[in-house]
Formats: sequence, structure tokens, C-alpha cells
Amino acid sequence: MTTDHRLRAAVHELVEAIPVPAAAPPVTLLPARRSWRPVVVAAAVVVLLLAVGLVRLPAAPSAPVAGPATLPRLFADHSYLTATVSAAPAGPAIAIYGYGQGDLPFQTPQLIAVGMDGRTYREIDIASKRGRPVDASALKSLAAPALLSPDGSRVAVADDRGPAIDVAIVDLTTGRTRSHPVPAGSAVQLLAWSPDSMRLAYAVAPYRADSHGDPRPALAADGELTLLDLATGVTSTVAGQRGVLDAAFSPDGRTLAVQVGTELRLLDAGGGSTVVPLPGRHRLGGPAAWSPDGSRLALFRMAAGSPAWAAGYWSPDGLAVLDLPTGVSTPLDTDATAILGWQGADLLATNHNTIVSVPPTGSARLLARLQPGDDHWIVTVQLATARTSDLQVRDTGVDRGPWPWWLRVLTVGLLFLAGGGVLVALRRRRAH
Amino acid sequence: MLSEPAVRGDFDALYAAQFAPMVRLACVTTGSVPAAEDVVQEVFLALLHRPDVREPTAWLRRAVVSRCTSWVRRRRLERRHAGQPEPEPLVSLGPDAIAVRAGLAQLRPRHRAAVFLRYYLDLSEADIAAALNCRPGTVKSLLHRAQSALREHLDDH
Repeated sequence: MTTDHRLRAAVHELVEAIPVPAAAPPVTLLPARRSWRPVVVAAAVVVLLLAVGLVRLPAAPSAPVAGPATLPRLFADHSYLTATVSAAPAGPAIAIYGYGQGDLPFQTPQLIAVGMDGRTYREIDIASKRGRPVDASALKSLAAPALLSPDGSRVAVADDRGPAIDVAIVDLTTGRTRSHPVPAGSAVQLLAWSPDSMRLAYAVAPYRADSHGDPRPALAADGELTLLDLATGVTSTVAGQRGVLDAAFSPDGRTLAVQVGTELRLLDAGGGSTVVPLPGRHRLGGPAAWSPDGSRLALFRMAAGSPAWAAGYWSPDGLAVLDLPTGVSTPLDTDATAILGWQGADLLATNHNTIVSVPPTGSARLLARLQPGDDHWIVTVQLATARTSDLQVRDTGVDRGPWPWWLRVLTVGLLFLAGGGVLVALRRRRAH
Repeated sequence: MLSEPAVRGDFDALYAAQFAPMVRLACVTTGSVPAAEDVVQEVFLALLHRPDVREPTAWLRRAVVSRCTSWVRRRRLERRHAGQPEPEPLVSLGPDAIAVRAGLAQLRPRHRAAVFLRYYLDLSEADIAAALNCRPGTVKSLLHRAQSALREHLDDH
């Protein structure tokens, strides 16, 4: 007998020797069988609803909000979950603000638009993308230079990562971006929107590789004042105005105040130019400088001790208001260094952490706060200047719109994986 | 709610045909007759609640092996903490059966179940794999290991 036969016989002998008692079949009351089908169907419905909710199509462009615009008392903090203007446009913005790049690689620059309701936030994605450094990865970068139109419906976006090829105009209502070419290899600085939001003034000069992304040295030397008419798409150069660094349209749109070096000039539609005397170490306060009644211009003040020739370059140390009829300049009591617009006789300004209302005399009044956070800092704040006269400041919620596509795909994928895992677990449980 | 008569009749017939083989399978796997009876009763009771099972015999084998494996694992832990010796069954056997019993005692529950299914029920590797909820390749490995151990014991006698 082979070992295999011995083994088989021994197993049979061993097994047959096991005493098997006679036992009656179990009798039981059968409970209603628990079916997992309703649970699975409910889970599938939840997954489907979540998927539809997250992967919903871009929202229809919203109509401009009627009535006064709202400024949030506390701006939303930095988030990677804010929907983009191109994917989910939300209509005109009362404000835009931009974050610089943080210390970590994923803390990339962002430019955010705040809707007229004060609670709708969208990322202006083309400005965020253009803010990322392409040729100097070790350098921290800002969101691309941008300028919000007075009615809040458009944002002009330049590109200072290197030689620019265009000025992009983003329509916040439709989410579409139109590119307006500039001469190849240019440095561009956005200067001012006309009050009707139909013309954009910018300066353009040959790009200088030694400028480290700052277009001002090139523009101060060779910058040509250029006007873009959005209705026709035609650009025109203003002759005889080289080296323009700042500009502001008058309320009627017929006069353009420009800062050329240390000189402030008023250019009229007929081609005339008037020089306005400025106190030492003062310069035009940017695109929102002109008061609604046309009688005053807000100015930047340079720190005492800064060289007079640097008045067009250096970061401002404070603000002042120039009364055009009298030529008297009055310093303002505020630590704000950027001009946002006007609300009656009061100047709206920011120090990039707060937005304040500054009366002609007296101390500034706090209107709103921004939240730079620990890892980012705010580099740009602008308001829709045509909507600031009856601006309301309120506590608002935060609506960041649908999640970015990558997060939607990831979430739906994880939900399906989790659902599949539950089904597999249920099937295994039933098999035992 | 009582089960329907037809279903109940099928169940009784299945119980009559499979109770003894399942108890033996469980006994070989656990080494304990009382435990084998308990396990098999539990498994039949579970089957009574599963009218959707299409191949009840295969399902019974798989459920018996699964529960026996759990029982042995739990029992080992209990013995390790209680310090009780393994009880010796009181049956008279020939020398080969005694050698096989000694060999089986040193194998893991799944090896024992594989031996039973192969040498007592004469199941194919595919059926054994279904009962053990594993791949046929794993069955070959289990049987090879078990055969080697049992042959050593047979050769010693």
C-alpha cells in the first residue's frame, strides 16, 4: 500500500470514528430578512446628488446687483477652494484683492474678485496664473498687475513675468478674456480706466531684462502713454507723453492727470497739457485719485529723507489731498498707503490689512478688514470706484462658488471608491 | 414569520444529508466534537436566514471552515491565558489513524480542512478552493504542506 493510500485510509478511519450525534434540524422563527438594497440605493442617491452638486455646470452669469453695492466688513481669507471667474463667473465686483506667493511651493499667488453682494468670491484665474514665476522659480511673486474697472464689470490684467505680449481684459459677467496685443517684448503698466469703463490707459516700453520684473525703470525712461478703446479694440498713443508712471481720469473722462517723473500734468482731450505744481516728495495717487466733484486729487507722500528724484518710484509713506483750485495740499491722518476711491468728501484708502474712510480733517474710520493670514500677504486691493458713493459695509457670508475641477474629480472619485468599498464589504459579509 | 413549507422541506433534506459530513469537517478542523456540533448548528441556522444561497453545500463548507478557523484562533488564546492542555479524544484507532491524528494536531485549521476535503470527501482542487475561499494554487500549497507533515508521522509508525 502506498503512503497516499495509507493516508487516505487513515483519514477515513479517523473521520468515521468521530461520533456524530443525531440532532434535529434547527427550528426558528425567521425574522424579516434584512436587505441591504435600500441602504445601497440610498448611498447611491447620496453619491449621485453629491456628484451633481459638485460637478454642476458653471453658474449662469449673474445680472449686476441692483441698488447699493456691499463691502464685506471682513474679507474672506485665503482658500484654494474658490471657484474661478472663467469656470463660474459671478458678475461685477465691488473689489479685487490679491495674495502674494507664500513660502511653500503650493502657496501660489491669487487675485480674488468680491461680488457686488459682498459675499460672492471668485478667483481671477488668468491673473493668478500670470503671477506665477516662469523663469525665476526661487523668487517670490505677486499676482499679475491688474486694474478693476470703475463699474466693476471688467479687470485688466498685465504680465510682468517677462516681456509681455498683451493686455488681457477679463469680463467678470461672462468669464471671457479678450487679449489686446502690445508690441512684442514690452513692459506694460496699467494706469487708469475711464469713468465709463470703456477706455483703458496704460504705459508701454521696450522690456529691460535687468529690471527684475519691475516695469517702472523701463517705463520711466521710454514709457509711452497708450489708450485702448474697448468698444473698437483700437489703441492710440498719446504723443509727447513719455515716462508716464501714474494716471487718473477726471470724473467727466475728458482730462487725464499723469505723473511723469516728478511732474504732474493734466492732459485734455484737445491735446493741451497743463503742469500742476506739486509739493516736494508728492506724486499722483494712482487711478482712483480724482475726486467725484473734480476739485481734488489724492496724492502719495514719500517718506522724509527720500530723494526728490525717486518721487515716482518709491513706495508711499502717507497720503495727501491736493485742492486743484487753490493748489493747497493737505496731509491726511492715516497710515494707509493706497487710494481706493471716494465716498463724498472722504477718501477711501487701504494699508492692505484694512480699508478706511479718511475725512478731509480728522482721523480715519475703519470700514473693513482683510485677512492676510500667516502664510500669505495681501499685495493688491482695489474698489469699483463708480460704486463707492453709496457703498454699504455689512457682515456677510462667504460664497466661493463650485469647487475647482480637480477637487470635484478627486471628491467624486473618492466617493465612488468608498461606495465600492462598502459594496465589497457587504458582499463579503453575505458570503460568510 | 415562518419559512415557506417548500423551502423548509429542502432545508430539512439538506440538513439530513450534510449534518454529519459538516460535523466531521468541523471536528477535524477544530479537534473538538462539541465545538463542531455548535459550529455546524450555527451555520445551518445562518443558512436558514439565507434563502438566496444558490449552492448550499458549498456555502456550508465555506461557512464551517471559516467559523472553525475563528473558533480555533479564539480557543488558542483562551488556552494560552488559562494554561489548560489540549484534551485527547477518547476513541480507539489503528496506528495509522493515530499517526494522522497526531499529524493533524500540528497543522493549522485550514490545512486540516484541506486534508478532510481532499482525502475524505474527494473534492477537486476547485471545490476545495471554494470551500476555503482561496485560489486553487493556494490549495495545492496547503495540501503539499499537510501531506508532507502527515507522511512523516505515518513513516514514524
